[in-house]
Amino acid sequence: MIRLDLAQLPFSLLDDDALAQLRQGADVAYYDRGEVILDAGDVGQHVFVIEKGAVEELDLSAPSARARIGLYTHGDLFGAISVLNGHSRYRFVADQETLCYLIPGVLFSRLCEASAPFADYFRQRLAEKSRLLTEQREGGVTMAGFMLARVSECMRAPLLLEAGDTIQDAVRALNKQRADSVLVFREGELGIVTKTDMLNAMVLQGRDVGAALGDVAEYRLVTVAPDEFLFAALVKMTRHEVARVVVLRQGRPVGVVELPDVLSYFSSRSYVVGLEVEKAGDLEALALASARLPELVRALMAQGVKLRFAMDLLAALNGRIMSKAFGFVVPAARQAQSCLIVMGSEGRGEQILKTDQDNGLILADDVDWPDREPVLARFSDTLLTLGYPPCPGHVMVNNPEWVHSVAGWRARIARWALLRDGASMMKLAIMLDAHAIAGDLTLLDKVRAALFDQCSRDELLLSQFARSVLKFSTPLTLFGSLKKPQHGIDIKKGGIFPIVHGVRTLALQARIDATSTFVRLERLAASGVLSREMAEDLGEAMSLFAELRLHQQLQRMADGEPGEGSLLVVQKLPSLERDMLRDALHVVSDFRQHLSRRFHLEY
Amino acid sequence: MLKAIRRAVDRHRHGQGAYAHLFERYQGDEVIALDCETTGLDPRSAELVSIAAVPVREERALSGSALDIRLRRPAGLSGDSIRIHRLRPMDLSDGLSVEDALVALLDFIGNRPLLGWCIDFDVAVINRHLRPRFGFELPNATIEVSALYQRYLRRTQPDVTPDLRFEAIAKALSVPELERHSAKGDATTTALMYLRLKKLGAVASTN
Repeated sequence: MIRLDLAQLPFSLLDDDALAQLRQGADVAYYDRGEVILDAGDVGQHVFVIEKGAVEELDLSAPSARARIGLYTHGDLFGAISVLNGHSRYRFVADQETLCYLIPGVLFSRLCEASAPFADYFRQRLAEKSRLLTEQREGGVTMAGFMLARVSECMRAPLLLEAGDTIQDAVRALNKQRADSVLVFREGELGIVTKTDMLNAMVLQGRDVGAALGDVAEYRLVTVAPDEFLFAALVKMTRHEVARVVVLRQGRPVGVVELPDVLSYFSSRSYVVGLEVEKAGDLEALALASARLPELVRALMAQGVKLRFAMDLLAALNGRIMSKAFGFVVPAARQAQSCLIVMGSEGRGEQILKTDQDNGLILADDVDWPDREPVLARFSDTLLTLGYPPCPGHVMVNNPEWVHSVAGWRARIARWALLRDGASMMKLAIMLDAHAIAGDLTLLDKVRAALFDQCSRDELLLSQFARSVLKFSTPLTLFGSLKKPQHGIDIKKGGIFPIVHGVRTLALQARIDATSTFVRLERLAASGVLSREMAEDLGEAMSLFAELRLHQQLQRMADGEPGEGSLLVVQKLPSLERDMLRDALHVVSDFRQHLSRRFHLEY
Repeated sequence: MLKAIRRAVDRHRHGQGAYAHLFERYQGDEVIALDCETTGLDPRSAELVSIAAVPVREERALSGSALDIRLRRPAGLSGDSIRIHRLRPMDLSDGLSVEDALVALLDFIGNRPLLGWCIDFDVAVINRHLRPRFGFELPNATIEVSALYQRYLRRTQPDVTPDLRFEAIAKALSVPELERHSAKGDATTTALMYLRLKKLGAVASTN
């Protein structure tokens, strides 16, 4: 007995037979304003579809009185998750007089069994939602960027030869100019000769190297104008199944656009910056290359490159820049005797824009380097001029606290493990994320081994170490109740930190030497410490947080508004992102409970 | 008066029979929204075309587990009524006999109170078929939704002359008309009117 339009998602995924069952099997119910339709903890017996009225979804686990996390109106569906999970996580209350269709849980489960797409629609997990979002973004920003580019930005100069010139002449010219095609005029008519044309002429048609180009050229050209959109050129290539188009201005050839050039048009920038870093022969050149990193990030994000890969690329570039700077400042002999490590988010390869310098130095045990302090101070200053601000906690090589021999580091780790106070735990955490970027990289392995030996089997220490994941509450309750724009969710404390630290703790216990949270998650799943599902969800949640945070930071930079970008104003997010954020925060919340049980943090 | 006597006699005769439970006092809080589609509007001659019974429990109309019966083509199925309920003779070719339909109905409704719009008409048509075959009439209590509505209106808006037509009540209570002139659709709509009136405080406890 459903009067609703069943032609919309998710019902459009059902066949006629299933729709008939649905029409026949649904109950109808009336709820008064304020009436609880489905309470938190209730067994999910029905899926609700709203015919009239509005229903709000409240999170009761919130300490604050009412935390509205969702509002459903005509045509919306809720309670499906409760049926699938067995019970409801939230309280659903009629916000006004509401008439709902109730699809019995048994019927709903049967429909899910009968139709995989229908079931998938509901079981759509975080990873898939995230993909949807990326697609949405790609469809928006990238296509916009792509469509705005003009043909003239991406064309090569044409290589013009005479119709009487030979194939041999053409090959010479092509090699010299590193081109793939030549243009020829024959009696005022423009033709093109590609490498393939010449190959076919010689091999298949038996012509010799002296054959005239005019005879092998193709005169049916696909052409574009220089001020046309690059996108149009790509469409023409696709339509005519050719790999290049000729650019004509008032009938005269001014260039050629090659398919590979179009495709690499957007990804070329990362390549260019990387090249500049490698080529830099002095600090000034390095500083110039380094200054282009934020622009690169923005370009990559606009292309819809997955944040994780953008972070990897950026970590690699930052590592190269610091390593180069280290090479400029520190004498070669000393470089071989020491190991420069970066720590914190840089060590994990998870910084997105430039972060503070978090670094330290490990010296080989037998090294005596008495005048190192001025050299290391100069290195820190150099990084500063390259655009890496100093670390507020002073975790830097110009601080003797963070420069030790291998034996010295072992002793400090032992002391931290013994002290077990907050500061020591933090230092252990910092050290766990250390990543070697210059000098003798094996020195870090020795220190890390000492760290694992000291901590990975000490249950009490691990429990103490894990405890700080409970330090900041997950900001699930704040949805809907924020009003002023300066208020917001601290995505770093509430989302990123618990994941990073929890994964770090598990990695410590499992002696996993990777520092990236993503790689740690993969290894944890591979070794069975975490379920594959949880590891994937955590990875996706982590990407989402980082992405939201990055967008905010980029936005602030564009607005010329410096400062911390980790406060996220939920109301400003589009609803899909809001939903995803909520799901991701749930993943965090579940993970914290998992850690609580595992490390006995309840007490 | 006559009705009461008849019921007392029926109860006396059938109090020990197969349908004894129908005559027991109902203790629960469910009601049955009942609607019949017939071949005419005169209870003395109208034949049954379809019967629907939708249970109402708490705040829900259980249309998903409703009884929805179509009967075999009755003699009086003519062009006039076909135009209203859109059941052509061919739609009824595989319907139940009146006998089977009444058995199914009695089993389904039990002794729960019957709710309807002009419920007396539906009950009268059913009784006309019931008495010759089973020897008794429906003993269930009945609830007239238009009467509930009238009472509610008299209390809240005494000046208004109530419009008691089905569509008017549905509209006034902002209940959607689900499938007008299908027995199940009308029964569900009636159930929703009842639920709505219950929320508005116009229904005394059914016990």
